[in-house]
Amino acid sequence: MADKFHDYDALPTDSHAPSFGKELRVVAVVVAFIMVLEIIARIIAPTLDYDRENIHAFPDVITDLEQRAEKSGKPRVVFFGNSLMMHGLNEDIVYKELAAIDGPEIESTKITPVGTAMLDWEYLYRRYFETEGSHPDVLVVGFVGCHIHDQEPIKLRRLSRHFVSTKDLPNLWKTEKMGFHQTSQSILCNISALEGDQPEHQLGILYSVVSDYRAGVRKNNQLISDAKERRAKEKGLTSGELEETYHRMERFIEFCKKHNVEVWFVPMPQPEVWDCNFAATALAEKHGMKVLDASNIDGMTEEDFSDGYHLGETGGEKFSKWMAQQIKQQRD
Amino acid sequence: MLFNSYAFWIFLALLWAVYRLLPHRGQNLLLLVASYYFYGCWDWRFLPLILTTTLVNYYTAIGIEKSDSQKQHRMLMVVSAIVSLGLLGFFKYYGFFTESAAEALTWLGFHVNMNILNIVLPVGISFYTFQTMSYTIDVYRGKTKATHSLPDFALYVAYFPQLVAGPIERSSTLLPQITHPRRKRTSDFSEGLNLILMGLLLKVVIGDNLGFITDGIFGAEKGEINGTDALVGIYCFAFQIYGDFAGYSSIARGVSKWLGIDLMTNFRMPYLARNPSDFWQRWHISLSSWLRDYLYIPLGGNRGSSFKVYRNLMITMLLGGLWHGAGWTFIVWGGLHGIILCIYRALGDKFTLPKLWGRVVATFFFFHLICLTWLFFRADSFDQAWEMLRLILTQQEMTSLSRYGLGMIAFFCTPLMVYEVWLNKSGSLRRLETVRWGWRAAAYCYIVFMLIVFPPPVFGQFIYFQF
Repeated sequence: MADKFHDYDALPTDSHAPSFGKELRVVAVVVAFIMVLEIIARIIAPTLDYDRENIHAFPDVITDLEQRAEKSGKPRVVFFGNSLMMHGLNEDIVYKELAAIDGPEIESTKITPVGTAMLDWEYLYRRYFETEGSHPDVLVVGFVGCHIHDQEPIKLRRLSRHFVSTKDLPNLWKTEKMGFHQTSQSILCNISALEGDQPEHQLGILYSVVSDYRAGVRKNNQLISDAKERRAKEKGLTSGELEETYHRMERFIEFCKKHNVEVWFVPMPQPEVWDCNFAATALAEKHGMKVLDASNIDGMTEEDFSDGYHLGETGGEKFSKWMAQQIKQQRD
Repeated sequence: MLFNSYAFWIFLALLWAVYRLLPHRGQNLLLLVASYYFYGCWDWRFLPLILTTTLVNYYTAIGIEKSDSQKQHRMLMVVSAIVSLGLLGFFKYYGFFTESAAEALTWLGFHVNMNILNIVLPVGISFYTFQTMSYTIDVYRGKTKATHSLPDFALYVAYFPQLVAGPIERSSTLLPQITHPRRKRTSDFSEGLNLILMGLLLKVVIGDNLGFITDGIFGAEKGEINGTDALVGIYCFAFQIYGDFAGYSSIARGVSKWLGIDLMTNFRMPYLARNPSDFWQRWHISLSSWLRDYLYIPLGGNRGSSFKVYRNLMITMLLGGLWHGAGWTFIVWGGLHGIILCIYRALGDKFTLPKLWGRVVATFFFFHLICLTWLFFRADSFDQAWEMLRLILTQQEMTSLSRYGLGMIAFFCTPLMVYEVWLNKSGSLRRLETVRWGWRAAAYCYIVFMLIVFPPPVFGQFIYFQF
């Protein structure tokens, strides 16, 4: 055998070197430690943040809607989407407005996990509305442009942990053409809370130990995305030139259609009026679904938005009233 | 197939399961096939390059050994060097030199229309070229015997743990381990485990997380950051490149340990160095010792007049810089290190600081000197490097970005530096293996926790693959 290249590598004597058998004790402790972490992660999962609390309540919320509708015989409406719909729609105002304008009576609920987009919605719907009786009559999907096309980046950990059911995983790998690394990651996240909820654990720790973490990360992300855009421009590409496709949306519509669910796509209000992509509108209409344009509601101003993106109290009221009128129009 | 990917660990588990059942010859053949497969996963089109380098150096070394003529020795050596350096030069430097030549001619007023090719750089070419050259040079110098087993030599060139990013091994240490049957050693598992876990911590947790901040700060346009942000960006890069490269080397050594083969130590607490000479005995040791043995000493080394010594130092460091990348910023980086070494050679002994605090000050000062060189290494252009340097000297004010950056450095690097000081005190990289197993288990639990909870925002490549 060759001599060791550097003395730094040498142990004082060979007898100090732990044997394979002895080192297995260390490995066993590490494995036990991971298992303890997993148990802790599962225990704290439902209370990690508001969103996790919301997600863990989905089965109960859906069962509750099913029971209420069964009892009352009223049509079921599920308001679906992300934080835009969550902050924008006030169900109480919708009910009051429906009563005021002599609209139809409905049973409704909101399924609005934050930061989600079409791929999350597709799998979330397949996972949580799994029994035939759980499907709503109307599914109102609120979005802005980037949420519905296939180019929206995947948040793989959360998607695999909270929205895709285990039996649907192969479907996800196939439709999103995932490589080996992503496939392995999605399996791990699906079975492990420690892996699936990792971003929240990480943020929880870094928020408390790194000063100005939130502002610093925001600034850094901004610098990175600006630099990316500049480089793309130098190469003659712009994000606008990227062709948008809608395979996720099409699959979602087809699944809902199969279960006789009427889907209303609602381009949500934004401080600046925006146009929904023509191809997306055409796709929805081709399948007999509706697009109810809320991007330009009369009387909506910039002051109606709490943070320049989400609707505030006054904006929420305007949107909810508008929604009630749409329900009346469509159901009548 | 990256060391930080699931695919690699499945590949290794399958390989190891078969490997341990095979006799020595079978093990070597299996490793050779696995190494080519490993390399082919990046780009199988470049496999013929490795095969060419292997065959040329294999046959020239045998030719040198068989011949008694000095003239023929020299001729074979030259053929081998031309092929090896020719391939490296074409794939790595052709674009850079033609582009630089075109720019220079345009600057002189000549209008030229040079054909600048966009050549894809074969991963690891700098590493296996230097490793193979060292073998042929050693045979030429009579320091090592030519191997007559082509599969063994091919494995020496393509051995997968160190193929794409080193350490750059010497034939005198790696070849005998390939040609002789592996012995079972008590400590291989524990040492391998230690090296792999440390490597993953360095790469995945430290290198990639800080690399994300580096990318933001070095991607900023004029006016978007101030001097403190720029300084934090350089600190982040210093730990990113250390974590990335030392992490790769450490994982490579650990994996190789599990296969019963020792690879040389490539990093030894480099940021605890107190002077440039000390630094180069701690940073990328396999390259710095290669440059010393095959370039600096043949140039004359420390012999001769002061001028000649300084000249040798500068040539070695400039070429060392060029080895890292085909760009002027890399050459300047090498040049800066050359100047620092020359200044240290001229003045070093006159400024030796006494006692513990003296050593701390020297380490702190030298770390900042290294950071200055990293600025040129990382910057996209000289303009950017100068601008950041100007900001550092003129605009110091804490911002949310710099507080965040410093917080992240402290969070990720403090435990590492404490560990390194502890290792440095004992003069052993294996100190953790000598403590009670419970302490080791606690350290590994910390690493595993960090690996699970703090993976980087973006799945990271290894920086040194591009060199």
